[in-house]
Amino acid sequence: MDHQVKVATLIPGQRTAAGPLADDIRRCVACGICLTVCPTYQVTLEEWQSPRGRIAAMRAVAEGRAPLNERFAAFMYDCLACRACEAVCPSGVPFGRMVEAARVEAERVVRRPLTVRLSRWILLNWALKSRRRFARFVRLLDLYRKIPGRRVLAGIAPGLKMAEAQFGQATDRVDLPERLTPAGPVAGRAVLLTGCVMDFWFRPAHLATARTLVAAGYEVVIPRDQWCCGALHFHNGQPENGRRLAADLVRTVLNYGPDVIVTNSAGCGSVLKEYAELLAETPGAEAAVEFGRRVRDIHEVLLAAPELPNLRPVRRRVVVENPCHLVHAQRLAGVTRQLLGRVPELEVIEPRDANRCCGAAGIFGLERPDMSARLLNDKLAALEPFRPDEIVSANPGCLLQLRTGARERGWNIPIRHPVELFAEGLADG
Amino acid sequence: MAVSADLRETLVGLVGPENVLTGPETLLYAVDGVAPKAVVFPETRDQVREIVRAARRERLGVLPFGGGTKVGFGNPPAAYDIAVVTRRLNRVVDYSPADLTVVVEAGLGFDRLTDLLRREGQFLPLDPVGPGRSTVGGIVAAGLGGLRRAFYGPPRDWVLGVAAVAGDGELIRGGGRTVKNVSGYDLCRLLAGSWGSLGIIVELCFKVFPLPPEDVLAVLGLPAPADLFGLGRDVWRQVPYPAAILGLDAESARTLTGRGPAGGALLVLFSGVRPDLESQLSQLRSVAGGRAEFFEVVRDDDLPGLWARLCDHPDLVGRDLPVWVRLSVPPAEIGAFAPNVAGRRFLADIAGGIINLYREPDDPAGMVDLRRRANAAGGSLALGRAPAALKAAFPAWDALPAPELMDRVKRALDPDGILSPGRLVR
Amino acid sequence: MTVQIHQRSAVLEAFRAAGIRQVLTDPVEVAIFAKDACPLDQAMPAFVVVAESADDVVAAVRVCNRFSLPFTARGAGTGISGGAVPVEGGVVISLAKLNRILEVDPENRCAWVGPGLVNLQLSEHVRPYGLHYAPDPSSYMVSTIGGNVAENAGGPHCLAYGVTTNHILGLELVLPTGEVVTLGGKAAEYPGFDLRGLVVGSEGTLGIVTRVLVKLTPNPPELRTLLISFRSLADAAAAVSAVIAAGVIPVALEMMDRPCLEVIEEYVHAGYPADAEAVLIVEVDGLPGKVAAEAEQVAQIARAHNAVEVRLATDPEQRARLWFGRRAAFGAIAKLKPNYYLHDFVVPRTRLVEVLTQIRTICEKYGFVPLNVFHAGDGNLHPLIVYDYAEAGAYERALRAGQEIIRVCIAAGGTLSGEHGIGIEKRDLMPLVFSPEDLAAMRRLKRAFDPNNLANPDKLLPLETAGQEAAH
Repeated sequence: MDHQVKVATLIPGQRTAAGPLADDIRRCVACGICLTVCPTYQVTLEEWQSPRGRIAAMRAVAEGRAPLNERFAAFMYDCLACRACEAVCPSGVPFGRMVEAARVEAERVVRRPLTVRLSRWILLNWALKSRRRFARFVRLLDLYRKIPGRRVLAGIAPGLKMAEAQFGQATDRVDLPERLTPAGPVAGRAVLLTGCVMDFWFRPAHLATARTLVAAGYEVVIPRDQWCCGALHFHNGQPENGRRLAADLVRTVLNYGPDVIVTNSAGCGSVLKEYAELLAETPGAEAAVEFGRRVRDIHEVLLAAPELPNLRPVRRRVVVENPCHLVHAQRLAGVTRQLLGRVPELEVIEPRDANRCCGAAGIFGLERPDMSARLLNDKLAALEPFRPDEIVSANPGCLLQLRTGARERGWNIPIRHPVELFAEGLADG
Repeated sequence: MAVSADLRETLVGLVGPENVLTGPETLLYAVDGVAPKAVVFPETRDQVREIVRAARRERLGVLPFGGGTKVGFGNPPAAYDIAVVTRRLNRVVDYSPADLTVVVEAGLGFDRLTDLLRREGQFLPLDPVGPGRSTVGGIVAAGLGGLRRAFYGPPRDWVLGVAAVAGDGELIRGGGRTVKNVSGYDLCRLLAGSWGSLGIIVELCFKVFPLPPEDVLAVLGLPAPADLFGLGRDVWRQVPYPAAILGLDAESARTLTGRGPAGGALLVLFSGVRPDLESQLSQLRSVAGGRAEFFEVVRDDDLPGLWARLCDHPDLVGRDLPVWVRLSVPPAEIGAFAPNVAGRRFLADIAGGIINLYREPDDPAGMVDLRRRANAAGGSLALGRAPAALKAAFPAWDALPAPELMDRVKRALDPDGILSPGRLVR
Repeated sequence: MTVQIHQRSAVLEAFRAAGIRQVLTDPVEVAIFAKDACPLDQAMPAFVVVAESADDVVAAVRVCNRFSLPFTARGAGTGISGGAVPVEGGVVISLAKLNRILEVDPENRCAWVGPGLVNLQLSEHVRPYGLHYAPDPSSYMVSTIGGNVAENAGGPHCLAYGVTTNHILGLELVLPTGEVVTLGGKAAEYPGFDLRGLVVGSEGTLGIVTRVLVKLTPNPPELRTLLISFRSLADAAAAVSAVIAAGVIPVALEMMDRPCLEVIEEYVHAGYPADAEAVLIVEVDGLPGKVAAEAEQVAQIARAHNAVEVRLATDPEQRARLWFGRRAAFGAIAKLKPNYYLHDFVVPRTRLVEVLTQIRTICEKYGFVPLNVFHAGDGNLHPLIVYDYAEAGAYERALRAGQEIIRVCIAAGGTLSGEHGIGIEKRDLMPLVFSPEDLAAMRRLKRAFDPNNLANPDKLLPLETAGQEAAH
């Protein structure tokens, strides 16, 4: 051998000091294709803001060439975890689970401003613990919204401006039925997951989802005793808390004997589909497999269903924004366009960068408000020339983010879940 | 100064007495009026190496000599003791038509190579000055673009591999025999256009191309000279894939075609299949509109002879005129130089931004001004030939970019500065 | 060459004083710049300078000279021969932010661009002028013009249009000693040596390019693509030679062999004929008459060489379908085994079959099946060995097989590298193709540019000791 080869010390099958599995790190051949789609790299042109750079950091920590330090933690949280890189990676690097694992380790050394720490704690460790707590959290937000000059206050503290802009939006709480049954033959039983943020801010989307499911021939059950799927915890370095919520959800939902478990939140959907892996070494592992097999995004259910009868024409121009967790994580590219394409006379526009992250990315806006705002601005600037009558996106975080941006630009158009628009096409209301 | 008996003896010992000249015949190899002390005709690269080594021992100035077609370029040699004539290094080493490559020795005549390639339906689109006399080594060492340069590129783009004897007497090789090659420094490009200052090229591997199915040359006579470059640029912009767009002064146009348009002639070459050629010609007609007083199409057997005469522009256009000025500017700027050629004899490559201007050695101040304007436009001016008096007052080349670096590069391959000293660099 | 601790702060201070804003020193930060896409080597730099202007580059190079620190320029880091791997304890100068298009000159069909500009973005930017940048290495979505210049990058279109060096008209170069020179320009001829041509392909060892003048090529009016299947590799190779012999120079001539086709079919269902032993993708461009005639000629030649099937695409959608499998090839291969070693050599086109057969024999000896998807037109082979790192000894076997393959290619009159460069990967193999005199001359040229040996040292040329050993 002529070369002086430096063989990596990554041992197959082992979890590394950086968090991810050695085998996952090794999969990356550093070809750099991911740079072309990574939103943070495209904005900064900085290698450490790219998937390849983040993996290089993981590798360095894993190989002991660099310590697990604050910079490492910062790099892991600079990531949107949008997983656009996964969709283009020729080597099939599972970047999403790698960055999640790295964040778990990063939590030990991460430094955050007090306000961000507080917000994270309130949201992840207090509010999301249970539905009852979350309801209290929402009531507090209602009170908060009444404080005059609160926006100025929020502007002072890093991260809070974004949190304010998003969670400061009024909730929308129509009543949901517990059970709906189709008039004709029943295709099966669908349990609709209502989630946390969706259930307080986007109830109309749930109602529309239930209606379209019924139109597709499903008996729809909306359990009252279900709660959060834990996605935000899994994505933010708290897998233990995530697993606790996940195990509860699995148990609750399976009690209702679902043929299909339906979500209309892309972020939740991507985690729900990974439950088998996430709960693999827990007592609930088998149930999680069972659960994961039945999970579908509402798009999947409706596109697989036979043509829905009597869709009414809707004369409007709509711009489709595709949540990262729908197109990249769940690999459901173009499904919103296809679904809305069935509505007669609806003009559906999927912009060139519809698959690019809007900067919402869960609670990314809290961690990296400047980057989040920059991505949002780029997105809306690109979308403006289309002059849409409305914008649709199939994920609550994205909807809140887009609404924030639209409000700042003085746009007065609906921004909602595509299924709501689709449901308008259903003849009987 | 007579050649030392030692040197002659050494050279004779290397190549035999019949291949060394030291008498009055050396005048045939004079450069800027300076004849070498000895002229040698090596037959092998080893002989070239030994000659250079011998010269290096004695610190003698060595100039490689091919067909002598571009011998007027450059500044007078600072030392010219030995002319190494490559004429006998003329073997075809390897020709692989299916690989589109040919390996030849540097002294091979371009016309011989052309004949060889034509038999396989291939060619090397270099259009050298004096195609009947120039050698492939000389063409590459000079690096001058031919009349189809804008379409096919300069010689350096066609060289895949090179072997040369450097100034230290060692054989160096760069590149290889394949179309793509990224292995080490690109010595091919370094030697192309180095005017014999870094090494004596002994072997070359060229990429070759299939001959186009057909060529046609449109000759447009212009009523007034002012529009020649303007029309040429319009053609370049609006007609797809011209293989050459040339502008010729009125007198030379008359010599070439027998017709004498007052404003000179625009010559546009197209290469390809018949339907495309017809459509290109008709597009050319519509671009020319009423601007041409005649529009002739030369094709088939009439074309090669005419083209060869064009390539020989130092004779065709420059007959009886001692000064050849080669002006190279960004192609879009060529129109600005129309006043400088008005009333003079010239051949311009309008697509490539090159003007070959022939003139008397009058008006040195005008030359200085022309150089200044060429440089200001982002271009260059070189003398292709000039009387010694003019060269003494007016350097053959513009000031070199990065002169110190050029000097260091020269020393890297020719540590004692014996190869073509003073012609391009010290 | 590593930096002493006490020197570290002095160097950092000097970078800052020179006006450079972004200098990275944290081990996690610099580790990110420890390697490129070459699997063979990595090294921790002491500093990473993220240049935000050409002035930053000049300043950084001068500081490096003051402290005798070796430096390595980096574009997108997609090179696979290790050209952007720094020296341990040295400096990486990142050019990714120098990505501006400084001037588009449609009248002279050229553009001045920053070295960090991504190849594809250049072509997209000049599309409104009806122009494009012709060299298209397969990394063109990511790789930068500066990196392409350093490696003299190739691509499928090089057969007809030439490699990178044919498309670089001028350069602004920061010499390793910190002076700035401009080489070449918009005119055809300049006096002096073609140092521009020497710098292209020099892998960052002669300085750092801070501006590039690229040639732009008119977009062809017509483009046609053929997909041709053969029952034998020999037939396919013979057809390639016959096409060239007939005087047709396609703009692309890509070949895939059976193992490669099987993988593509299994994973992406491109619809390639199931029983094909080799598939050719041929593309011709130009004026309509030429394109029609050449497409017909290619089809006829293919049939005369026992082609099983010839598919022709004229519109962009059909063309995309024919290219689909080829473009998906690497993704499909990744599903086979997690790791791969991609080679790059050129052999004379006439010896393709012979070399491919030998490659297969060598690989089988080491327990691999080579996959071949390559530029057949110019004989540029890219045999791909897939392996699993986790499998004991697989990596070492893959490297050994690679070494044998290189020797076979060179014995067949080939070169060490077609378009990926020498870098670290092949530097010690240089004596296989170059004599000690050749290498000595290259070394002297390096010294002429870089007397202190700071610009990307230990790349491209064999390490002195290795060179001497191999020469004996």
